[in-house]
Amino acid sequence: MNADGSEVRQLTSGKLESDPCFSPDGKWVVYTSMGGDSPEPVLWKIPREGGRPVKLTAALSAHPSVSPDGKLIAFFLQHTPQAPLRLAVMPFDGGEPIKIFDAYSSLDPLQQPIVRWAPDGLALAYIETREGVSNVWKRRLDGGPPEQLTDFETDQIYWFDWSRDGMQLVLSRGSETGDLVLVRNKV
Amino acid sequence: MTIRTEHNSNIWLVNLADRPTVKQSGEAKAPPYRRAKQLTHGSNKYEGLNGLTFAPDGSIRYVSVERGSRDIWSTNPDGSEHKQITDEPRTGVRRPSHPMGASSRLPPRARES
Repeated sequence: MNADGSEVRQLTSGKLESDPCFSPDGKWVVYTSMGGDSPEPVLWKIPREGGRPVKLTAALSAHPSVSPDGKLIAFFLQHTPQAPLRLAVMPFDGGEPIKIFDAYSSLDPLQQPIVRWAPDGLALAYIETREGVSNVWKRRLDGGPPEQLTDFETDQIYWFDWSRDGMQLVLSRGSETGDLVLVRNKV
Repeated sequence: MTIRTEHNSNIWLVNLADRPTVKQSGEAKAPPYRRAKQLTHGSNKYEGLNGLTFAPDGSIRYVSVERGSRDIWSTNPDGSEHKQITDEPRTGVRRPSHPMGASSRLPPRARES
């Protein structure tokens, strides 16, 4: 689809595909696919103009983000369906991860495990939810402790992105409330 | 008896340049919301719940159900020029979900709320 909403066309025809993201040169779309040759989520890429999809890994993997230089893909990795999520990085052409971080603590079903590259390509940002409160944290690829980027004390963050100059974060955040409602038929 | 669910989600902007110091894990907390600005308001519009991003021109594109269907909208970082980009009346609200996780291996992606 063009940025103005015109010329919408279907790129893939799998059963369950999600989390699409462009490579920086705009030539590829990287995405998560389920229900094709594997019942588990796996990362694929397909040319923007369409064509044959390329499987990037056989590992349980989802939620990709391509590095600013187009050489790497950050994503969430699971060694087995019951194992904790881990943040990982692999080459854009696929294959084995070249970097795997510690377990990703949040498994709140309402929260997307989203990863975004810092604009300089040296760090990854992700959402951490602790006791129902989300904040965005950053990990440098070359190591060091996690760095907290936001200071929220309530609510959950559902999605976020980094501005191109690295100076701003945009995010969606809020909460879900549920009420029991008694419905009576009119007599 | 039924359950009525209200899902509030709005768009916020955090200016990282305003941070006087870089806070490391375990240090004292800075005042909350000091650098966060709320761009959209209201409830049950699910703004950004199903995705948002910075466009290359610096505008913010996000998913909203402001007019009942799940569509892409755009706004500037100062909250101006709020406009609808797509018009897909067949789409509805979808709770966020993910295809991985110890408790839910298969995705409840088709679940509508």
